[in-house]
Amino acid sequence: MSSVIMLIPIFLFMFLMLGISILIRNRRKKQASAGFVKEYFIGSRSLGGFVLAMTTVATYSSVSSFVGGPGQAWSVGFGWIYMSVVQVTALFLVLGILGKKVAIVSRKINGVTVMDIIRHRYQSDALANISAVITIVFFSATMIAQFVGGAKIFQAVTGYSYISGLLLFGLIVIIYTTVGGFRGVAITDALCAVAMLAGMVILLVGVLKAGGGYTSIMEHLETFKPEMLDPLSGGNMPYSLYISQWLLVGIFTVGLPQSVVRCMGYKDTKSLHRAILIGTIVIGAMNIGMNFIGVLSQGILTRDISAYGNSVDNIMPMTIVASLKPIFAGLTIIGPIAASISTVSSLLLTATSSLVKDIYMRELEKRKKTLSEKKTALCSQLCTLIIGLIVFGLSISPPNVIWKINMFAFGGLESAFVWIFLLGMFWKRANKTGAILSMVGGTVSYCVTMALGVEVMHLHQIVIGISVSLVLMIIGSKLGKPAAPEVLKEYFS
Amino acid sequence: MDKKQIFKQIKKEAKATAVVLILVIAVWCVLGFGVSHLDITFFHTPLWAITGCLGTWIFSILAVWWLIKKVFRDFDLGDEEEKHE
Repeated sequence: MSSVIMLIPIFLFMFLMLGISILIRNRRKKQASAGFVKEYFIGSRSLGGFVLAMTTVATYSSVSSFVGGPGQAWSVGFGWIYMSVVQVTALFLVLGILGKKVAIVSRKINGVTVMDIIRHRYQSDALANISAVITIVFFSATMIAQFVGGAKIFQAVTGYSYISGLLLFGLIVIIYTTVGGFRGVAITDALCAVAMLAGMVILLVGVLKAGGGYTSIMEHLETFKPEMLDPLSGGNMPYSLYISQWLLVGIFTVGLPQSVVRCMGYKDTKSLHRAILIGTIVIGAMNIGMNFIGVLSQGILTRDISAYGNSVDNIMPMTIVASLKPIFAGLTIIGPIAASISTVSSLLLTATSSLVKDIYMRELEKRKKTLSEKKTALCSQLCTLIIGLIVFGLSISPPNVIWKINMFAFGGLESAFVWIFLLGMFWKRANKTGAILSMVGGTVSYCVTMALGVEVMHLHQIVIGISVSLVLMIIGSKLGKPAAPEVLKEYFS
Repeated sequence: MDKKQIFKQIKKEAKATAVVLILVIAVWCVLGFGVSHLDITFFHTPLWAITGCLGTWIFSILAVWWLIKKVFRDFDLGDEEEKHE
């Protein structure tokens, strides 16, 4: 009976998401002034400040922010919160540095995907195609990790099977992304972000109560786990880890295509300014809050990790079950599920745009063929559905560690895109040769060193990927032919 | 603002954002690792954890507030130059 009660909030939330998307689709059909592609992939550039902030935060915050991360905080202590706070920079960097330039250029060239901008800036179909393939591969890995993470926490908290969880929220997110397009994804993302914050607050109250109050939990830590009160956590949190995280989830998130695409979708500069402020507040609250809960869970789950299945991924589900009544547990797990579906919906739509708009429609364009509005709509929605179902199918037999896959994709995307966007927007000399070398070299060097476990000074392989990518961009741009003046004038004068 | 001024402004905003990033990193180091040497606790919580986490967050919010109030400007994102023409 109690597990049925838990399901009620989850069901209601998922059907709310679906209902909103259908509503948006119906309104889009009535208005339909901007053309399907612009509406479906970029929401006709109409996002306000709040929705822009929340969709960027929700896309950025994955299920690992709710499961793996706080689980590590339970194990490591306050150092993990201190490390996660570097993510407060993620919103203001991408929106502050690239936000306006990308918005202006995309309007000017009528671009609706980040590949449109890459293709135009570097005048290269090859580069745009490589970008599309890299995006699809890494996004798929991330989406699988999100599905797996969401379904696992669903299973652990409700007691229902992994597959039933996957069916419940996996299929619904695929359907609502397919019907709602960018505008639907942005608005449902905003609701997801609110749900994440609400879930976090409920869990915080529950954990404090179950742990006997804040003082009691902290006294337990002082007595039995004093190393958790130290920033280096008795050697568990070396300086190299802090530096790696600054690079991986702080500074270089500026180049993540799923964030950059949001720079193309907002209404005006006022909205952007508001989004930067709201986003910085929310992302900080979320990261500090969830990891703080992870540390406080020590007051509830007091034994060794071996007592909890030897995996930090089990900590948060067990904390929820141990500290909340079924109805509140049901409300709380909407948080991680919302984190999962909001990331999946955005990545799914961007992956679709890469395939349909950047590869298929571009190929037709080169052959002097065009798709009718109706066929474009059908093709785009069908493609979203098919990619979603493939990812869903792959998630049925899940990989083991959630956050590592997520981190692998994160670094891969950063190695591929950071300099392409940053130098493309702010360095006139950046050209096609440099961009292709940078993207291929950065991605390959990152993936190879990750696979072989090669490290420099114990730092994450992102350092290698980003460095190789930068060096190749500079060398290639110096040696290659400069971009045409008529192209550069759209970006620099 | 004409197109040239807009691009100049965008460059200024990007540079200011980079400066804010550097300041946030510096504040994070001082309020976290720096304060950890003081060995002070507050409600059983080490002071460095409060200043390093909440302090860095609050500083970031204030820095972003300064950015959007003092550095960032509102302008039309459309193709202004062609409109003027």
